[in-house]
Amino acid sequence: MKSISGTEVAKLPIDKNDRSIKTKNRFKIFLTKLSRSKTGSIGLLIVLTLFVMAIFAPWIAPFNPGKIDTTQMLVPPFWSDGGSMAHILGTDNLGRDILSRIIYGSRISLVVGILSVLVAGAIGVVFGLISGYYGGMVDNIIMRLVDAFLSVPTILFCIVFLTVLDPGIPTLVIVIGVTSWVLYARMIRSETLSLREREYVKAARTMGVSNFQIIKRHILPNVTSSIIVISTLSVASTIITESSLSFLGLGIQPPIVSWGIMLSEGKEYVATSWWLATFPGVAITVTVLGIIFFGEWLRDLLDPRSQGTNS
Amino acid sequence: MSTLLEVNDLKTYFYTTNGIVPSVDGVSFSLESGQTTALVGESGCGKSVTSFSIMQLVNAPGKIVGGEILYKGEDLTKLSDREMRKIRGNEISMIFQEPLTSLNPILKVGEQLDEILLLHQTKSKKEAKNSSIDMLKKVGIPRAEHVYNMHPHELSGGMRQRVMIAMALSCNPSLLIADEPTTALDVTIQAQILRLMKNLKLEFETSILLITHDLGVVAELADKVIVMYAGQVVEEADVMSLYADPKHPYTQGLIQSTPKIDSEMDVLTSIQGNVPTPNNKPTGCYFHPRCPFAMDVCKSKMPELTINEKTGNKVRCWLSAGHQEG
Repeated sequence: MKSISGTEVAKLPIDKNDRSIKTKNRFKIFLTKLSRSKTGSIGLLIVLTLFVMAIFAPWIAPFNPGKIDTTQMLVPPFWSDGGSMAHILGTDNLGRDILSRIIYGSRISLVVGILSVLVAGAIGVVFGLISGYYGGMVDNIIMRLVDAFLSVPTILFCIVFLTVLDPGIPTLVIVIGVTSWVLYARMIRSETLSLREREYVKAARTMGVSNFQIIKRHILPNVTSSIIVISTLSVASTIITESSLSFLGLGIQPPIVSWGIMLSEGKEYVATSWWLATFPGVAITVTVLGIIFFGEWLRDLLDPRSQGTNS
Repeated sequence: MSTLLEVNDLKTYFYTTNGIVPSVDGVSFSLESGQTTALVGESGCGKSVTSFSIMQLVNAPGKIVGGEILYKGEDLTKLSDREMRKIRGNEISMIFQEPLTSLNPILKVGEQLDEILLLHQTKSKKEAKNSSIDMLKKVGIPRAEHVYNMHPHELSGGMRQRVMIAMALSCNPSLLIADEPTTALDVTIQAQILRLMKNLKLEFETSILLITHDLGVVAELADKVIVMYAGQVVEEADVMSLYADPKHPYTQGLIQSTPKIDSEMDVLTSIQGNVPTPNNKPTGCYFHPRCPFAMDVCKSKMPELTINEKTGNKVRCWLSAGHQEG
């Protein structure tokens, strides 16, 4: 159950003008709802950890992620024979500390994940709004374009673009963004289609509000919760795409550390030194799961149908 | 009394995949300033399409294919969208039958009221806020300052309809189109809203085009009544003579199907049959299959809307045209 209890509802409308009371209660409701969802809490915890890791990487990481130490090559994790507490998750074939590399790698995953989602979201939302609001010919053209994009796997698109263009974070962000906007476009279009028939949109039109203003003030704000949810969930898939591309050598280029590169470098040692590929793999899995848990909980929270008495 | 709006031979057709549907088929009428005119008819007879045609807001696949709509002498069908936007909300505005969904749920009442004022009347936000609160008071909302900061879901249906009326009247339009304004409200609130509209009409000297199928509402509010059937005007009369002496059998039927408080009836009378679908209209008079007085001529020839020289009322019926059976 995600609804709030009767006493909390009763406390709500004390004074609608007092913003502080309202905000405080909303935050409390947020926490109450969060504490009732195990997956939501776990997801948020993972996401927060990831952010802390990425932001404070230089202070948290025990070693410089690029530091090569030939005396400490292929040291296993601390609990195995020959492992030490100095390198908790062991070292790789060049003696670099795996934990430090994973911590630094989270930066790339987050930066690429969030920026690509922003690019994809911006393109997709604009196209979705236009397509849904104006309909007709414009809608047809945009939706056929979407179909064309959907008929080719995103990863294939990225591979084609990245082999032609110079690899690097900006290229990666743009390529992932440009190839994954279709999800937003479709979702926002379908919501806009229903919103534009709402009475208040009709009313706004009869009051002489321009189409641009209607989209900006009456439609966009009503789709924001969907945008937030799709964005959160697509950060997860973007992280996977980034890792895959880096794994294939098309994404992030060394010496920058990325989980995908670590996987790729570790694959030759899987039989002898399993920890090289396993830990970045676990990092990807946990991150993606965490974001999905959080995203799904957020979706339930923002879904008006499950919202009950408060909005 | 001057003519505010004149609709001449308006034709709004819908181009569907099943063929052309003439929803409004040659409608003509005029509205006088300061008067309330009711547009009456069953569902699907073209009332709402007529009102949206006046606003130039007929959605595809619908299109105004003929006729003119003269507002203060200017033909609205010839205006560009930009010019039309200056008229909407400012000169002509509209209220709808669903007060529960006519307000944007995520914007505060005040923000929505201000939007219209900032669009047409003023640049200053403070001024807009003051006039908005003023308007809320005028439509009888208690604690207007308080309601200004509320979200629509915190208000009841009647209150929301009041807010809608405040919004529609905030720029002091010359014409208010009310599309079934009380249908979704319960009777006591209905009476309040009707009284409010009556008072505001006098205060703001606004003409009202009232679209409804409720003849009770018509009697309460209207000066003149236009009865529509299957996309055409079948009768036009002042409210007194319409109730006292309805000429068209359809109008008679409508009046008979209204429940009366002083007569005992077990079963409410109703007009047999349904409104013909616009793409499947009968030959001759559109009403003849449902008409108790149908004659041979009705089946083959459409009567003209003829004016009674004495009263100025108009009716489209062979009976009134003096046609005798035989």
